[in-house]
Amino acid sequence: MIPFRGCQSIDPERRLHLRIGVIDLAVESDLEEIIKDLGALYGDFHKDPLPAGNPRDIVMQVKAICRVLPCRRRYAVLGDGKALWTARGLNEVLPYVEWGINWRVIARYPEFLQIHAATLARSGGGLMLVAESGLGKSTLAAALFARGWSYLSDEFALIDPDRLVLEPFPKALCIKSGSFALVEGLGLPIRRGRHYVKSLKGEVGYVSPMARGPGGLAGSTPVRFVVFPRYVENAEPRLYPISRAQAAFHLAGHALNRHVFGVRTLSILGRIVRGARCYVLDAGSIGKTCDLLDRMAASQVESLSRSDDRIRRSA
Amino acid sequence: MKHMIDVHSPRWTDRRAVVIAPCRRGDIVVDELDGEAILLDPGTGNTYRLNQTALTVWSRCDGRATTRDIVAVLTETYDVDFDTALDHVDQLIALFAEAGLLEGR
Repeated sequence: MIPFRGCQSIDPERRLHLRIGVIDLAVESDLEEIIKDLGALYGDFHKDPLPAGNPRDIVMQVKAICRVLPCRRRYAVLGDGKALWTARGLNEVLPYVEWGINWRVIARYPEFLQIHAATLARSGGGLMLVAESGLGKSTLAAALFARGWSYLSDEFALIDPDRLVLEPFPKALCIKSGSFALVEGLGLPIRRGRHYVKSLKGEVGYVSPMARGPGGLAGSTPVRFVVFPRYVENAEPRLYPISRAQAAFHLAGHALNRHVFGVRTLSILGRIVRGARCYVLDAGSIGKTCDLLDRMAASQVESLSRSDDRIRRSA
Repeated sequence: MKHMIDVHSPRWTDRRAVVIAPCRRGDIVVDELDGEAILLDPGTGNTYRLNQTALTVWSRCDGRATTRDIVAVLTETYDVDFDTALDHVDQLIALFAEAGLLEGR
């Protein structure tokens, strides 16, 4: 039996009720530091709790495991009552909580097709940056966010399978230490006071989704661009158009819950790519890469204006 | 595979060709996109992408058309000689069969 400190009753001050985009979340902890960290990132997403509790809430809990020696203290991270991880230090807890939220979203929100991607919007068109972890997706998303793109989500895209829109789930952007200077140079503050450590990524920091205020966030947005970035050192950034079948195939490979949708996955992905332009991106320097994606989005606006003109003329 | 028989065609004087009439599984879900296609095997959850040529071959795997019939379609549609087309068709059908996308496995 793991002895939890204060696990029987949690002070209401140590409980957060949040609605992050379309996701309802409650975080409970007897550790003031954790509530403070999460409050700093997500305080603007506070919601009033329902008296009887909300069955939609993902409930994350962090509990200190008592040890005789303080240096041996551990921290249990639980999601919906299930033990997920044990952190060895306070600086590991926030990354584990963030990770745990993602895991629980995958399990608890199966109504969305979930694809491993960062998503943003510009001029009403949604962009999916589809890539594995560790390829600089979050850094590129942060850079686009800093340049005026509206933020939708990091880590995974939540797609409404009927309306084919990207739903917002603006989690804090997790930035590796190697990109701190770059992201801060773009004007986005990174919260890294506690030197958070995420096991595989090493030291990380977080960009609050509210870093640009509420205007920096997007609501439900149709997918207009599907981009598969790959980092090529010292390369001139380039976008290579790929066929819609290629894009759908790769999207299927990045779909986290396609088993939930079964054969329907194919028609959903097919409908998404039919309404989008699809590219592989050779990402080089972040500034030039963002310029290129800005031009890509602008070309959409131009082509939409041209089609509007044609419609007006024909009317 | 259905109706696998060995034949010697007059055109294939130096080559022994296997003529089969491959038949695609009826439960495979196909979505055609701009002349290409994505296939989903509901049994395994695996997905496959077919380019234009592969889709041409796949769509003719109806259990009636033989390999030779399919090769003939390719040589009529594309600028490709018979032997090259036959190689492609053989390889594709072997891949389809290996992936379990054809009947009879």
